[in-house]
Amino acid sequence: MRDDRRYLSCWFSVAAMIAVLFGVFASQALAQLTLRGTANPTISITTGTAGGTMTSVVNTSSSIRYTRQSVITKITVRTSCPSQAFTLQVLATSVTRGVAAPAVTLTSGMAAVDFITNIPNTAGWTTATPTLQYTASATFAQGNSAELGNDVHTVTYTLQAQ
Amino acid sequence: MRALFRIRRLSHLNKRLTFATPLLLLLVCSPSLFSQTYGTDSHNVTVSVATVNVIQVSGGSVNLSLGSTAVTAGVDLMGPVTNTSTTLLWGFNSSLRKVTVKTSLASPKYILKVLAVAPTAGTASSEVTLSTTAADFLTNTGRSSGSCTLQYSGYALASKGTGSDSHTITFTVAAQ
Repeated sequence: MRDDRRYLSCWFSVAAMIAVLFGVFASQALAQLTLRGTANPTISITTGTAGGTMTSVVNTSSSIRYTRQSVITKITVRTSCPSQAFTLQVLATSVTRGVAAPAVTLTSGMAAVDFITNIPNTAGWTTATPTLQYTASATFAQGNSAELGNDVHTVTYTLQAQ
Repeated sequence: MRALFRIRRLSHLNKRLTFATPLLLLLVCSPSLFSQTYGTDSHNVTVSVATVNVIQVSGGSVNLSLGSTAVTAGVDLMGPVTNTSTTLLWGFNSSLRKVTVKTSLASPKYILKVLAVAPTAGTASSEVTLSTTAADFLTNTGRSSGSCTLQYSGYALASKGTGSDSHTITFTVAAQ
């Protein structure tokens, strides 16, 4: 009887520890990758050249901060933009840890694609904060927002093991 | 349950394993092993495109001269002489657009006509005799970026004598 109680007590205390640790790990996981700067940037294309193209616009008002992990990691990007009409690309610049992929064209419903790869797990750094360089472009044939509405992308970045 | 525990008490080794099992579970449930994703975040990026309808004439001024070579004996109408040295360029991101043309000269002495030649988009109107009232020049352009050659043709009546007309030609984007 006494052993039974001890046994049950052990299980309860370990279960409690697991619950607490999961909570801690979960909160830490959320903080391993964060977007900073302008929360929700807006990019406006306002000019074009007769006989040529619309003028692309670059926005670098936001950045991405990520933390070193115990394994080599990478960051992927994907977007959701119902009724997308225009073109949006993103490129990581000033990457101090890892290797930036070439500019990614964000297409609604796309599978996640590599954005920053080979993020090292070696000591000597804790966080890195590259700039997110968004480039919006459109052709005359793609129309305008007054007729088609704005493109609103929900762009998602994920830090994961490589 | 008590019966189960009594059976376990029979073996000292088994008892140790029983206590070790939750601890092993705890170790296995490390986040790096439990999931390969360490963090995720997202934000909204909005792309807006203004209504842009631009038009441009390239090639500079045009001079048309009607001389003796444009005259046919016994015929009052001289010409035409033509010029195709200039180009009209446009970029429209609105649907249903057209281009109209007009001149600033209210009472020209001679006749000046213009035609859109080989437009890369849209439909060229038939040759327009220029007046101060805007006339359709290029229609059904839709959303496009393109160009066409401007073909100016000058005519004169010999009976009007000598002189010159100076036109300022205006091309305008309009809703169709």
